[in-house]
This record gives sequence, structure tokens and C-alpha cells, in this order.
Amino acid sequence: MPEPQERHYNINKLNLLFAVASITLLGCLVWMFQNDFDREWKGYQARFRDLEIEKTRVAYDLETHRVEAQADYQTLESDLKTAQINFQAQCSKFDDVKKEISAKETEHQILDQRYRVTKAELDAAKFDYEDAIGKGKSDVSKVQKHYELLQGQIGELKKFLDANQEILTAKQGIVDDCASQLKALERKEHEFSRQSDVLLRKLKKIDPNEMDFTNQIGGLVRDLPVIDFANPKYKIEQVVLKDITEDVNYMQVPRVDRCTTCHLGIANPEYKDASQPFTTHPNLELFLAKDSAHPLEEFGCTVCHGGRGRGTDFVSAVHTPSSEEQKKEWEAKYHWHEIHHWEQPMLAKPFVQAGCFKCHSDASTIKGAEKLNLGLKLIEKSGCYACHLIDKYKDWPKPGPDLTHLAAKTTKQWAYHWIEDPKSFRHNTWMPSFFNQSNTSDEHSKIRGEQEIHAIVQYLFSQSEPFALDKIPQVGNPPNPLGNPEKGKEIVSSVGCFACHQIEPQPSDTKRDRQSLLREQGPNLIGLGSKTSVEWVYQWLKDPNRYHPETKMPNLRLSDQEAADAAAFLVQDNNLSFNKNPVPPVDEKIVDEITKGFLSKIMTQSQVSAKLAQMPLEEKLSFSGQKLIAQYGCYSCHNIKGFENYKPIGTELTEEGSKAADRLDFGFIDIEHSKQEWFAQKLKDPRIFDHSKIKAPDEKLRMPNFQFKDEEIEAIVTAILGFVKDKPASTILPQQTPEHRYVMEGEAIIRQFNCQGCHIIEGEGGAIRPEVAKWLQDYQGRSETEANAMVASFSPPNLAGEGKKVQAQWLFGFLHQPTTIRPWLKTRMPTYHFNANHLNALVKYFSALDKEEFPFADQVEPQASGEEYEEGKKLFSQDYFSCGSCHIIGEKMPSGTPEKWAPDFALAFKRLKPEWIKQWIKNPQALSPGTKMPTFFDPESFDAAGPEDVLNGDENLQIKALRDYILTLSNNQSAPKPAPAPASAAPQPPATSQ
Amino acid sequence: MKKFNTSTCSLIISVILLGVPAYAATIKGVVSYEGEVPNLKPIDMGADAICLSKHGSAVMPQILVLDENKKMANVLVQIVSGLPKQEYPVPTEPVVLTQEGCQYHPHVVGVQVGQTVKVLNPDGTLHNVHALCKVNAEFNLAMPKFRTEMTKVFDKVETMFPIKCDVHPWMAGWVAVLAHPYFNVSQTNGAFEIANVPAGTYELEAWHEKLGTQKASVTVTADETKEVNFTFSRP
Repeated sequence: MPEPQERHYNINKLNLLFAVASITLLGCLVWMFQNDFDREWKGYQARFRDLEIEKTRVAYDLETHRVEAQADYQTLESDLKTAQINFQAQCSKFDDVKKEISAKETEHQILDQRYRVTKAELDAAKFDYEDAIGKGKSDVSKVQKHYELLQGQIGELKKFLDANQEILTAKQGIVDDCASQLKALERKEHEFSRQSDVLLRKLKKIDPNEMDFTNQIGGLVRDLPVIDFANPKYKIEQVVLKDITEDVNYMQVPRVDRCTTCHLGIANPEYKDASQPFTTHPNLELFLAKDSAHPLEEFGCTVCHGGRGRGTDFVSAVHTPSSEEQKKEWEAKYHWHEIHHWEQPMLAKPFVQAGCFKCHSDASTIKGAEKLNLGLKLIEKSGCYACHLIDKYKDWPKPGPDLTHLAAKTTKQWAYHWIEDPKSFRHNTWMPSFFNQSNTSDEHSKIRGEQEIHAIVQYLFSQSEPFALDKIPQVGNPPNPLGNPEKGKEIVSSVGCFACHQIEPQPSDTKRDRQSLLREQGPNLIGLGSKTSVEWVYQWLKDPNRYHPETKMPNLRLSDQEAADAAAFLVQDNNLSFNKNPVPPVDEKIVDEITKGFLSKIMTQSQVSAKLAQMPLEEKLSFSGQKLIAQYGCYSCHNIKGFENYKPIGTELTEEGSKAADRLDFGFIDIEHSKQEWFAQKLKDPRIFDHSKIKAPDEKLRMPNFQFKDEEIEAIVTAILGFVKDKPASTILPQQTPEHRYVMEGEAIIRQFNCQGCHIIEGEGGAIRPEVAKWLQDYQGRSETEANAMVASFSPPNLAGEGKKVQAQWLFGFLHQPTTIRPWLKTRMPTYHFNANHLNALVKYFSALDKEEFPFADQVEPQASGEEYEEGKKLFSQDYFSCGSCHIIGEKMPSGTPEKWAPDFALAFKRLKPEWIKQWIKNPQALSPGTKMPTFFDPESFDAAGPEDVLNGDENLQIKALRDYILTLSNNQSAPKPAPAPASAAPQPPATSQ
Repeated sequence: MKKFNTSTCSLIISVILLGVPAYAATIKGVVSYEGEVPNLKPIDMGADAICLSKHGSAVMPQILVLDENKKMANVLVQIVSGLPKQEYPVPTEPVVLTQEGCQYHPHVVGVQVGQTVKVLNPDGTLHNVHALCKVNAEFNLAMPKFRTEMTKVFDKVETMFPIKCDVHPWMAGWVAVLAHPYFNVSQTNGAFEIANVPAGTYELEAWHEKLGTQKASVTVTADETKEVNFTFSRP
């Protein structure tokens, strides 16, 4: 028995321990490998591979069937078969010939070889011979003999060779002819099956069932753990974007988007119906495709969608659920949870358009992002930018009316009720509600609120500056003020008021969109008679800028009579019950409390008491009113005396979309802690986060309630989420050319002044058209069908192509001081209070939009020779185109009613671009579909359209001659003088005065 | 072009061959007006001396044309439903629309899809033919004095769109482009007649430019003549 070793440990135990430890470590290693190897995305890639195989197989089968079903292919196949049989039958006998050919070819080669050797020998012999003659050697004759012998041999050989070649060519020809038909057919078949061949090749690459054995083995091995570093089938796909960086702790690193690792079908239209994550992007025309505006390789995914591009599993990519149900589903399915440290989580589906704004912030409308566009428009209409600074709107005017002369417009009583609850007067006014909100609806707040309104009204009226209203002219005996409401209604319906205003309640289910909002540019005029006096309306219509210098309301140049009629009509609509509502009395006790509150912020308690004691009630009200206006920020939207230099009261929103959710105060409201939820709640009930908080009256939240509908809130939240700070590098932004800038600047002005209320610009707008159709029915006796058919030619013009059409200088003048161009239109271009910046920007806008040169394209002086002038005049005459039937020529009006009249030729020289006139005469319908101007040169038979007896029937010459003649009709000294023409025919340009 | 012609021809031939059976029923009737006759103002043609010279007496607008028995002209009656779905041969004869005395004659006209419309201008003044259609391509072609005739073809079904002359604003005509030949416009005595109708049950619609539409149901057997009358009144 061996002696047990003397040790402090038991070797067996230790062995066991080591064994367990090694096995555990090995297990861990395997586990580590396994864990590293088994990635979520591989499962998706495997599933996608199956889908791809299935799709390719289906496509292959379909393609094969399609090809086989074609009659041409079937004919080809049978032809091919016949050709093959023919080939077998006829060309097989050439097998012998082929053998012969190959034998002959061998023979030919040997002969050729021998020929070359003999040729070399001959050359040598020739030298020897020449050498012998030259040196007079004795063996000349021997050398000569040898040379001649060789010469004979080479002649023989050459003959053999040529003959052989001929035989070969002839025999080969027979064989080739026989196979040529078959070859052509085979080529044709290949054309047919090219597509299916491609699919088959693809299938062989991806489908194990189609692969050859080695590839099958390779496919298995390349994805094995550890070996898979080389060239695995399943691998992470990524797009690296150098120009779009990510802010990683004070460092800008290129963005890396690995989304396509799982979203494998995203840019492939074939996966339209596949399930997530393989579905095709819903708009490949605009995104991802190589020829789209945003190719995948340049833009990636997260620049628009947000989220963590480097993430390669569902949770770490920071997906955001679109709804509570989806959130629950994801939690169960993917163990989804919020990743708090990632500041830009993916935009939830309802808000996805927010991503467009960071690059397109200068555009007024972003094509394809309708929700975002609506959100921006609502922000403009509601005037959010007045309290909350938003960089995009930093130069925009205040959205509310000027209150400097308030006392001239309305009464204290009306103002009290209006401030208390604006929507009870006009249900769809843009003025929001400040009082009786969720944090001020307790009894004490209500009573206090009443006195606050008294204070505000007192301040506004005490500060109101005097404003003399013009008297409405008096007529008749005894004298009565002018004004016939019936006529006024017709004026209001026809001159264009309805491009911006409405005078009827909106049904409560009205869905506001960008088009309908055009007609909410100005207030809905319901109840106007209860708000103000007929004199004020008259004065306002005559000169809006006198009352409110910055108003967007233009001057319609109404005559005294017209203005008086319109005013008489407008004040007919009133809301008597609103004015009859009793105003609660002023309660000095509560006024004292309010005043005391404000005073104690600037003085000691005893000073406050002393001050309060010596203040009369009116002063207390006025003092508190001023403080309250500052507190609620009324001055942000309205001009109010005493607040000229105050700053807006709200949080700046320029980068609000980048704010982390934990910087928002959710108070005690149990909602999901995300930005979009907070914004939505805030818009739904702006005071909600005060819920169950104890606050002094002046500490309470004060944002007013706009009573937005749910879909409007979603649109506004989309816009706010788009207001982010991480602007991409200029290299990927829309090209910042001067033209681009001009277009953007012009669009902003067009937006501010609501040009699209009347005009169609860039294919949008013309909001007044339904009202013009109504006018045609109500006042012109047209039936509905007729009115709708005619509406285009009785509405303000579509401005498509305006830059090509009119001269920049003329446009500048016209926008400054419009004159009548289309006498048949009842709607009139109003006079806007544009400043020089506006005018320049608009002129540049129209030029840039039509890619016209700016400022002035070369003005071509049309030169009419004597003959051309005479022919132009002839075409113009009654016997030909009879242009004077409709067009005004200076002071010479056409016959009939203005309904049929057309623009004055005297304007043409200064107004129109000569090249455009030619285009217009050629095909007016193409430039302005629906125009009253008929087409004289039918484009369907242009060459036969003009009269044969003018300018040899050459239509293009006729158009030019007519254009040149028309230009001579302008009352302009620089108008081209026609070359010598008979004195009697000399044009008599009519004296025009516009 | 040649291909188009051959295919059209073969289509027409096949339709003729297939469509022979029992085409003999006739639907006819009279359109009357009930109620007070509105006092229409005569048209002021002073805007164009040529127009004025074409008329000896005052010209009444064509929006409501009644005879002494208050029978209405210019009402288009057509079968709107019940017809088998098939292609009908397009008449080779063109429909003629004349601008005479600065008015359209006829005032209401029905054509078949693909049928030629010949527009004439014997007035010797500038007219323009402005077809305010929405489904077919809108056109506005001038017919100056030297162009007395032109032709147009409408290639889509579109009922009742106006044709206007922008030079003479009072001028208005109405056109219906239909897929089948079963329509008729009432004469000055109010009578209309739709012939060669296959046996079946149909819905008829009578249309007037100001007084709207009326519908009636009718069943005809082969070789039968059924009478359907319409009465319009002001709403």
C-alpha cells in the first residue's frame, strides 16, 4: 500500500475542482460564442433569404410561363426544333466533310511549314548567287542552278497552298451555311429567355436546392462561428454617411445606418406586400431609389426617421411605437423598452413628416408632407410664433389686430365679453380663450378672472388714442347716409372679399386643410354689426392702413358708394344676444386684491397699503390691467400702447424638437413621458400641467386655449418635433442657389398676404373660385353646370408662367399700384401695402420660378418690315382674326358688355414679353387652360390653320407679323416704327391713359 | 393609323353582325311645361352689328322654348340604364352644329362617342367654339370669317356640357356625348322618339338646362311602341 503523500490538500478533490472549473469555463466560452453568434438580425436575414428564394422562384416561374405563353416564342420554339432536326438531317452528312476539312487543315499546315523553310533557303541561295556574281566566283553556275531549283520549288508550293486554301474555304462554307439558320434561331431564343436566365442564375446563387454540391457545402461552412469573419452569407449591412454627422459628446462622427440589416426589402419595389421588417418603403419615387431626390446611399434612414442607426436589434435601434396598443404588442414581442439615453428616438409613424423640416425649413410648403404643411399653416394662423420665438417666422407681423384705437371700433361691453369667451361670439375665431380654463375654473379664480378682464378692458380703453372716423357721405333730402345693403351684398360677393373672409358659421365637423385655411386669412365676419359701427366698417374698407398700419387687409379701391353699400351689408349680420349678456359689476375688493398682488412685488407691505389707499378705482384697474396684459402677453399678438418694446412671453420653439423629454414638466399628469405626448396634451389643454398643483394666481400657466381638433394637434406636434437643432451639412441640403432663395422668399410673402386666396400659384390656391361660381349663379343667372364650367375665366388668373409672360419692371409697378387689366373680372386685384423689399422679392420670385433671367431679360425690339406690318394689320382686321371684337385698344372699347372684353393692347408693349405673345397667339389654351382667348391656330392641324392668302400661308410668319403689329398699338414712343408704309396705312396709336 | 382603321371597321362589322335581333321597339312621348310661363327678356345683340342684321325681330333666349300648347323643345331624353353592355356602331353621318344669327342650332345636341361633329359658321363674323367639357379635352377654337367649317370628335362619354362663344356671351349650346344611340332631343312641338330599342326594361332620363332632370321607367317588348311623357315645372 503506497504511503499517502503528505499534502495540505486533497489531490482528488482538487482534480475534481479543476475539472468542474474547466468544464464551466469551456461552457462559458461556448456560451459566449453562442451568444455572440446568435444575433437577432440573423434570424431576419434567414427569413428574408427564404422570402427572396420564394420570390425569385415565383418570378422565375412566371417569367418562364410568360415567355412560353407568347405566340412568338412558341413559333420560335417550333422553328428551332425544325431547324435542329434539319441540322441533324442535313448537316450530319457534313460530318465527313468536317473530317476532310480537319485533314486538309493538317495538310495545309505542313505545306505552309515547308513553304516557309523553302522560302528561307531561297533567300540564302539568292544571296550566295549574288555574292558569286559580284566576286566573280568560279562556282557561279552551280550556285545559279541551286537558286533556280529552289525558285521552281517555291512556285510549285505556292500553287499547292492556294489550291488547298480554296478547297478549305469552299468546304467550310457549306458547313457554315447549314448551321447559320440554327445559330440565328438560338440567338433569338436567348433574347427571349434573358430575363429568366438572370433569375435562374440568381436562384442558383441563393437557393440551396438549385446549388451545386460544392456551393452547398460552402454555404454551410461560411456561416459557422469564428469562420464567419471571412465572407459570411449573413452579415451586417450599413450605409456610412460622411456628410450627415451625429453629435457624440462634443464630437461630430459620421452617421452609420445599419437599418438595412433587417429592413432588407426597403428599397426593392418587389417587397411591397411583404411583412415588416421587409416591406418596401411606401414612397420610392421620393426616397431611397437611386434616381429619387433622397437616394439611400446619400441620406440613409435616421436623418429623416431618427432613432439609433448603429443599433442592430429592435430595442437598440430605438424604435418608437405609434400607439398604446403597439407599445404593448412590442413589449410582448420584442421586449421593447425606452432607451432613455438616446436623445432622438425614432419618430413615431404619425409624426414621421417632422423629419422633413430640418432640411426644408425655408420652404413654405414641402411637397409630399401634407401633415407637416398643415401644422406649419396652423402655427402661422394661430400666431404661435408671436409668443414663442420660431426662427422661421422671426420677421412675421403680429397676427392680431391693432388695439391702439380700440375705442373707435367697439365698446367696453363688447370687449369684456370678447376677452371672457371669444368663441361665444365667433365660434371659429383664431383668438384663443384665456379665462375659465382648467386651472382657473374654481369659484375664486372665476370671480378674480371677471375683475381681471375689467382691468384689461379699462387699460385698453384708457390708452386708446383718438381716431376720427370719416363720415359716410350723405345724399337725398332729408339727407341720409349712403348705403344699400342689397347692393353691398353683390359688391362683397363679387369684388373678392371671399378670398380671405367668410360670413357664415362653419359646421362643427368642418375639417380644416390648407385650402380651406386660405379662406380664413381674415376673420369670419359673422356678428360684425354687434362688434362695430357702420362708420368704422366704411372707414376700414376705404383705407385699412389708416386704422392698422401693418394690417394684411389690402385696399380694394372701393368708391364711396361701393364702400357705403358694402358696409351697410356687412353690419347687417349681428349677434344681439352676445351684447345683451350682462357684464358683472366691478368689485373693488377683488380689484384691490389684484392690485395689491402686483404692488407688493415692487414695494413693502406698508407702502402697498398707503399706495392702495390713495389710488382711485380707475387707476387701480388701469394699473392692474397693464400688469395683466404683460402677464398674459396680449401685446405679443396685438399692438397695444405702452408695450412697444416688450419681448414675447413664451418658450422659444426654434429647437423644441431636440429638447429631451425629461426637461418637460409633466406635473402630476399620468401620460407617457415622451415629447409628442407632452406637446399634444399642452395643445389640447394648455393649463393641464397645473393639475393638483398649489400656485398663486400669477404663477399659474397662462397659455390660452385654441381649441384645436385632434388631427390639428397631431399636425402641429409634427411641426414642433421638426424644429430641431441638428441641421445637416450644406452639401446635402437643397441647392442654395440665388434662384432657390428667391423662390423661398417669394413663397413666404405669398403665404403672408394670401395671394393664393385668389390666384393659383405653383398649382395651388384659387380658394375664391367656388365663390365666383356662386356669384355667376346668383347674379349672372347661370346654371350650376354653366357656372362651374365658366368659373376659370371669371376668376383671378392662374399665375403659372407669369415670369415668362410679363416684364419684371411692369410687374413691379403693377404690384405697387394695380390697374385694371381684365375688365370682365368683377374680382379686383387690391392695392397692398407692399414695401420695396416685398415688391423686389415678388418680382424675383416669378422670374426665378420660370427660370427667367433677372432683372431684365434682353428686350427684343420687334422689327416689322412694311409688308409684315401690312399683313399683320390684315390679320388683325375684322375679315381675319377680328382681334378688336374683344380686345380694348387704348381708349377704343369693344362693343357689347365688359363680360366679353379682353385686355388692352396698349398695355402689351410695356407689360408682356414679346416671345410670350408669340406663344400665346400660337396656343393660348396650352398656357392658360380654360382661357376665353380662342385658339386661332388649331394645334391639331397647325400647318393648315392660318389663312392661305396671308404671308403665303406660313403660320409662324403670320404669328410674328400679328405680334409685331399688336406691339405698335401701344401708346409708347419707343414702339417700333414700321418701315416705310403707305401714309394712309400708318398706325394711329390711340392716346391711352390708364 | 391604318391599323386603327381596320380594327374600327372590324369592330363595326362585328357589332352589326351580332346586334341584329329584335331591334324594333320605339319609345316616344311629349315633353310639356306646367305652370306660369316666365317672362324672358329678348337678347340684346347690339354688341355685334352682323348678329343684329341676321334677325328681323327680337330674338328670344333659347333657355326655355315653348310652343302655344306649352310643349317644350330642347329637352334631351336618353336611356340611362338597362342597356346591355356592348359597343354600338358609330354613325358615319356627322352631327351638324350651326352658328347662325349668333345662336346655336340646334341648341341641345346629342352625339355618340367617336361621331364627328361638324361646326358651321355661316354668320360671316368671328365666333369661337369653347367646349367647356371636363371629361373630354376642353378646347376653344376660333372660327374667323374665313373659316366656315370645322370638325371635332369627342372620345369619352360626358353628358351635358356647355359650348360657348366668348365673343357673343349670350351664345350657349349644350352637348351630350353618349355611348349608345338611344337618345333624342324634343322638337318644337315637344315630341321625341327613340327608335329601334331592343326589348327590355329601361330607365329614361329627360334633361333640361334650367329645370333639371326627370326619370321614368319603361318596359318594351319587340315591335312595341310605348309612350312616355314628361312634364317640367319651375321649382
